[in-house]
Amino acid sequence: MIELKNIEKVFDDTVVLKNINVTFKKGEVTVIIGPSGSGKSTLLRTINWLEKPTQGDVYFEKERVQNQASSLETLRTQATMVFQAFHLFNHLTVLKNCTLGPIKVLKQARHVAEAYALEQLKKVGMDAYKDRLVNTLSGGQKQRVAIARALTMAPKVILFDEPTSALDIEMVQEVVETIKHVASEGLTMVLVTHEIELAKAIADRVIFMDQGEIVEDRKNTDIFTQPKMERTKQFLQKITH
Amino acid sequence: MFLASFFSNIVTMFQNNYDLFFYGLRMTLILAFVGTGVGLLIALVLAYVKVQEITTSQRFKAFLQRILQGFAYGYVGFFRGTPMIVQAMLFYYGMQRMGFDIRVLTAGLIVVSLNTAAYLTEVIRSGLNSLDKGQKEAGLSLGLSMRQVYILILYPQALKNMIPAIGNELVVNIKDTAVLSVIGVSELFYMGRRVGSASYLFTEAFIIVSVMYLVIVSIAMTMLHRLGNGNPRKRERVMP
Ligand SMILES: Nc1ncnc2c1ncn2[C@@H]1O[C@H](COP(=O)(O)OP(=O)(O)OP(=O)(O)O)[C@@H](O)[C@H]1O
Ligand SMILES: [Mg+2]
Repeated sequence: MIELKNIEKVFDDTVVLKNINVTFKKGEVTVIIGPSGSGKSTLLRTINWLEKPTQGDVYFEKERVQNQASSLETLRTQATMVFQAFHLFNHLTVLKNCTLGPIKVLKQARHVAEAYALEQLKKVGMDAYKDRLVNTLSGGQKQRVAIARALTMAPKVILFDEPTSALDIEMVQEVVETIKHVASEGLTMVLVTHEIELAKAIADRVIFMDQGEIVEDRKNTDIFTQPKMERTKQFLQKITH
Repeated sequence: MFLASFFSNIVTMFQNNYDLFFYGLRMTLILAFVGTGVGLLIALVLAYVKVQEITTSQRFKAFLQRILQGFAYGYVGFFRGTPMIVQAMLFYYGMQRMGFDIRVLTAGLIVVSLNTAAYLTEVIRSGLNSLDKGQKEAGLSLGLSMRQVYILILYPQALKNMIPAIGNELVVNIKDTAVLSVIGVSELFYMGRRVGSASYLFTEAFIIVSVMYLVIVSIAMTMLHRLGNGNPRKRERVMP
């Protein structure tokens, strides 16, 4: 469904991604792990072109993504992103956050968009808060709304960038449960996380990145029990202690 | 004795010429409000042009963006780098020279709008830059176009923070449109001079003019203060 071919990304003079060749299949939940600064976010952001690759191509359903507005807008409606810091629209209510995309991009009628948004808010347990301004919510609640917002676009894939890292510890679990619930519905997901418990619960595949490269790419969650590469072993030891 | 006759001069002058003074005041207010409003609209467009990063791979589009950006920079540089009194002369006589028989009020409105636009462009630009860049990315990642991101997400948030700065621009315009008298716009300053020169009582005339400016600026500032902080009394109480 998504293919990255020979992707390289250079910021100023530092190479952040190099030689990235990877395909994400429909219905697959891929978890990306790796040390801070290894390029996980950049890789994820390259998929929906929030970062433009310096070299290489992105293919979405066999179509090469072009660096022009129309191509990118189409791509992004189908591959939407959930951010570490939520980035809910501060001036809008919970419900309006969830209907903006469907109404303005998918051209849905307001009542259709609202009905579908409420369904998604219910799924993440936030339907009771639909009229609240988003900056009155807790971090965990914000992230659940952000997940609902992504779902309202009925995207083909959701990209999660460390969705629990900005949360206070007692709120991590509610978001983890929400993501598990979404994953159980068969949506294609690519998720960067440090939550090993979450990774183990939902991953069909785990990729370990280090210094801008994909070091290990494994089916299931075997990587946690039998890492093949030395760098993976060292990383896993560090984070489990 | 001297003071008494001085004050009675002022009162008499006002009684005899209040229609002229109020006409001038009305012109001043029209110039200030229209200038700020139209200037704001122009500034929204100019700021949008200015903050765009050129990322598209379409050559022609990128070229066009660069031209527009160059224009926006030149525009802001010119209007902030020259006095409005000079801009007024240049515009009014420039139009005449090119054969346009433009009314002085129209010329005045255009000049104050164009001038305000330059200052507000910078205000809006910094308002946009102060927003978290995640807001833009979140909008884009829903598939919104760049223009939609600005209109639906960034401007509404930035404008709320900018109300005090826009109000400030309005107050500046109430005062600074006095320079438009140079091309003959009959605003408050112009009327003061006219009434003063009819009787050679310039001091009295400009005391009246000063009081009128002061009153109107105070009203504008009070209104803006309310708009900015909800209830102004509450705010005063927490001030030291
Ligand atoms: N906009 C940018 N400009 C310059 N350098 C950047 C930019 N974004 C990321 N980098 C650099 O690219 C490298 C990879 O960053 P990235 O955010 O992808 O890492 P990460 O694996 O997501 O790390 P973390 O776990 O801390 O989120 C880092 O060295 C970072 O400093
Ligand atoms: Mg990251």
